[in-house]
Amino acid sequence: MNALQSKWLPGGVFVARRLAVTALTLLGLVTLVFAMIKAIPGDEAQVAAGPEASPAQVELVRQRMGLDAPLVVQYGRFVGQVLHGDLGTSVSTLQPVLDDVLKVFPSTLELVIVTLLLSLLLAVPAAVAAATWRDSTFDRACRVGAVAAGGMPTFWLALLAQYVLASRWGLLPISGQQSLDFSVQVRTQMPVVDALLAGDLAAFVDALRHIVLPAFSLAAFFAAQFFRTLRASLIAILESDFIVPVRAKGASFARIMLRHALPNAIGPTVTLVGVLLGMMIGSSVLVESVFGRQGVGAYLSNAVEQKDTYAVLGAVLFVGAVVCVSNVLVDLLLLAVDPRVRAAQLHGSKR
Amino acid sequence: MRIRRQAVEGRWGQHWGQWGRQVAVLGAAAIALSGQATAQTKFDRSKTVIFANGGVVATLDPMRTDYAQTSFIASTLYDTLVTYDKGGKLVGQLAETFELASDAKSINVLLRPGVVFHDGSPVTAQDVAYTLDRLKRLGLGIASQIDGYDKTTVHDARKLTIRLARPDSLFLGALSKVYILEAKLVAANVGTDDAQGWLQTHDAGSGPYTFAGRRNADIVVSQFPGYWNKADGRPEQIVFRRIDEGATQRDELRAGNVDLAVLGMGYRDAALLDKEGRVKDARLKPELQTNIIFNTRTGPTADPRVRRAIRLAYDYQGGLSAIRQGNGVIASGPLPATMSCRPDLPAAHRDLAEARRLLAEAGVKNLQITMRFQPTVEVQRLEATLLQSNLAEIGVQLKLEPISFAAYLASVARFDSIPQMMLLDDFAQFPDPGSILLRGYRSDAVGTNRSGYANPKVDALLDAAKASSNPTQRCDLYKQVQTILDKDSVIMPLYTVGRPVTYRPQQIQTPEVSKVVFPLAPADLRLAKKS
Amino acid sequence: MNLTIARGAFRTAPPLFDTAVYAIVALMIAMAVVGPMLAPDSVYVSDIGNALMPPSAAHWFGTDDQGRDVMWRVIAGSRATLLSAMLIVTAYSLIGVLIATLATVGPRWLDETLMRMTDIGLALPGLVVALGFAAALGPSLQSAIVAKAITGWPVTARLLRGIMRQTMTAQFVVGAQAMGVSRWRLMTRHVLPNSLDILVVKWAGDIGAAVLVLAGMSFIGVGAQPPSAEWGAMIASAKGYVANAWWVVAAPGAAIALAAVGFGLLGDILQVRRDPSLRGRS
Repeated sequence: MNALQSKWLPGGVFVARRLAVTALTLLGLVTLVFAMIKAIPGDEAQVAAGPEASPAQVELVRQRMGLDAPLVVQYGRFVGQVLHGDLGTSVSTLQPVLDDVLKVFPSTLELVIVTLLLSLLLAVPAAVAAATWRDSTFDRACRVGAVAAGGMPTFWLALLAQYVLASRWGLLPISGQQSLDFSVQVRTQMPVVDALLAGDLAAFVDALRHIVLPAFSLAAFFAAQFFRTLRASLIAILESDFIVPVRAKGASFARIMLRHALPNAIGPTVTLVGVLLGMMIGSSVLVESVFGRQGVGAYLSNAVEQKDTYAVLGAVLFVGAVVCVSNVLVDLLLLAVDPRVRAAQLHGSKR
Repeated sequence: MRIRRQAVEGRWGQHWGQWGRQVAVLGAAAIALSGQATAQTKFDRSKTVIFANGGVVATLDPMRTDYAQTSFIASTLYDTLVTYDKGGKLVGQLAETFELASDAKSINVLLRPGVVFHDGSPVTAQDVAYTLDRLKRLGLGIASQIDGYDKTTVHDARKLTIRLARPDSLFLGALSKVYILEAKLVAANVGTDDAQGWLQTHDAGSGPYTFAGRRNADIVVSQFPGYWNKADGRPEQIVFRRIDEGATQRDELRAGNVDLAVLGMGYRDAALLDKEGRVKDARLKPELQTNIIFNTRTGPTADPRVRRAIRLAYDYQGGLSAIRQGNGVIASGPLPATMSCRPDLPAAHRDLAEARRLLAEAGVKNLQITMRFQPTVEVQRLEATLLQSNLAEIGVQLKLEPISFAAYLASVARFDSIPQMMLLDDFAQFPDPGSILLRGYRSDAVGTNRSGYANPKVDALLDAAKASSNPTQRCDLYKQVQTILDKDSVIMPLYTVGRPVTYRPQQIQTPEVSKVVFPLAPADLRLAKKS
Repeated sequence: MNLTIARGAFRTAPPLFDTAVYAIVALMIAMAVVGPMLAPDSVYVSDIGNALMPPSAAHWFGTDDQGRDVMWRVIAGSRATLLSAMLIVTAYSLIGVLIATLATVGPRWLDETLMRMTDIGLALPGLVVALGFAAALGPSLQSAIVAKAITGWPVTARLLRGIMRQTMTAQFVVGAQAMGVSRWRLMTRHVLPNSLDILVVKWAGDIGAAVLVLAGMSFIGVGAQPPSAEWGAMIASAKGYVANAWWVVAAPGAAIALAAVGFGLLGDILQVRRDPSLRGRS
């Protein structure tokens, strides 16, 4: 093969390997959740038939839903379905699970993305300043603030913020995702994005106003984590040997920070984003419940409560796939940004 | 520098292609699948009523109106043959006249003329037959209430006879929960699941409102101009907003963003709002009773003396005033105080000395019992904790175990897995004492007889009532049954509770309780008169 | 090392709160040890007529929705809360160490398999596992502890594996390997002790986080049940009273915040002591 191909090949192999690994991870995920949901006491057929049904009616439902087949068969059937893109049918809504999840997931995605942006917006400048002026009062204050922000239960912060900022002072909406005054065509189930797509500026601002408090409540904890990690890596870089020649060249502070320190220090923080993303999606339910937003968290907890096996499996699979894919993206991002990671990953490392 | 950037781009370009396509497919799928009906109608806030509702609305299929959330919304979209009026009397809705045969094995119905479905087609006897047959076929949800149904004989467009498999005087009452579907429309969308999937997101009814789409988690219904029962002051649109947290419901109500909060509003919050003045509490009295169901078959609670002792330990007065904010009356018998055909029984009371004596007589020491409750219902947690403390005073250790809805249903499906004690808020599907007594206390009613109670005398009385077409005779038999149940302490009724319904008087007139839709029928709401 | 001239708030401040942090943590632990013995029995007895009374001379932090004294309930519940948090963190830290060790020392395929399991663990929504366990074992403090212990190890395992691998490639280790020292010996003699330092630091910091997680679990309905005075359960059941009975929320909320902050900062301090060159690095 020629020189050009040999340059691209390691990267291609890397991605292919990662995707294969992701598929394996998802299979393991499905198996685990299937086992868990079947171990929960409760009878799906009973829930489907309703609280007033007689045993004969329940049996009929059980047969119709294929719940009388042995577990292994149910599992095998399910895996086969998934490979065809069918996540099964929900017991409570009787709709395909994929449709149901796609209706609620974008809302969570919207919240998580805004939360991520907000937390990075809060954490990065603060970390840069704190690392630069280490051990100053500002630095100390930031660190205590970070610990404190990471020390409040998320739902408590949400309730407090809602009560003080929305109910008492009326600065922001109390709940919901969009005021009823605005009627924007639903395209992606994300009010912010839909308003943008419809070109309705007022609706866009309205949707943003509704997402501020939930995102802020959720972001506090993660901003604290990002701040601490980034600050630690920045300090390590700023004190390391290789900064010396750069400074000797007479580079300005901004240049040092943006061109040299940040790109090298951002690695652990980016990895942390990938690791905490699953947690962010999981924690979103606490905030969604308080602010009356729809989302995959509420969908999941309702499905577990109803022992709606396919809904739980489908939603977990979906979320798991999203987390796995974003981890791949995170790895790729790291690859692009951090030269040391690139060297280690693509050209192999000695054990 | 330059070389490095090129190398980075090369790899990025390759990756973009691969997963860019995946993203595009996913995005397109998301857009295509979410192209549902949207609320495009004009929005006039002064003529719109906004509900704050807790809980998920799984489906709009009127077969599932055994679930409160579905019943709430489906009742605006559909009509029934008969319904109960304010006084608890059965009156016709789609049926102009109806009559139970003297052998209680058939019902003759004459439909009201001039009633149309939302698409303009007239309501005919064929639609009634189709609805009932579909229920029988599927056997889910509300179908369990009409398990005596056999078939319908259609005489002409307006006349029909419903035939029952055995004599059943309760069938007429059950028809108040059977919402009539438009046969032609539903049959055209039957799919592979008898239109259950289609009916989840569409309406095929003749009710005062039509389904106008979902927006995020909100459901919107708008007025149907061709409705047969014309009334002034109906809201043009009703929006059902999903808000689970009671505190959020309260704040939105105060801010005027929501006009009514029903399912999910707590008693204490309602009392506070009422005191403030801007928002009022209608304090409705549906057929709602807080009960503790005993396991009368196995375990320590199989002994009626133990059951009676536990009944005497609870602080009814304290619970009613502090937890339910005085909204209700202390129970006097197994049926709610708002129902008809109730005997004169003494109210529940507290007597610790007597309780201790009964336990000693039963020969139990250091009793340990497990009680289940639904942790998502705030007042249940409070009442369970109070009872736990009360029982400690007579030497009984109560362990509290929250239970999910699914697990609870599974546990009462078989007599050998019934929980020792279960706390729940019981509401009647429709106000017929016979239905409740039969399903709850007949020895072979597995699944709905949640205490596993078996008493041949009670069975005989209930069977006699079911076969009788004489209302007075039935009433008398029911009274006898209730007296026996009370003496046996089959259940521990706490109170007949009112249901707080907080609303904004500037927007709507005082809501009234409904005997059929818990706790009020949104279709009955009227806008406040502008003075 | 500062890059610019610092002024005002950006000038290096004298370290002073190490003692304060130690004091907070000591107070928490003392409360957990003696608290339940000091608290009167009435913390578990309902006095429903006195529900939601504001703070007074008789009840310094008022009464809760069952009429019980809030302050004494916080003290009584400290043991359950802190002990549970410690159990959770200890359990998943041990699992994490085990997995990381096996991954580093063992053959490549073992490493790959364990890392895939870690990926699965990270992708699994913690909520679902907690709900599942609660549904299977019945909602209780025990099932919450088990659920969290089982889902908490991936982060620790990943972290430790990274550090262990790094240590394995350090100069002195490579040198020892060249001399023929076995990998296992290397692990126990050099790598493990080095990693355990970090583990202790993480352990201390995580206890605060675990207290928060327990609170979150109580919010969604899985966790300690009545009449337990566990702080998470107290704050979750008080969520409806933020506006009209703030004291029910204030006391357990302050306790949780203090525990989270105290133990979190303790982790910081321990890290500095472990490696003074990290002073101020957090």
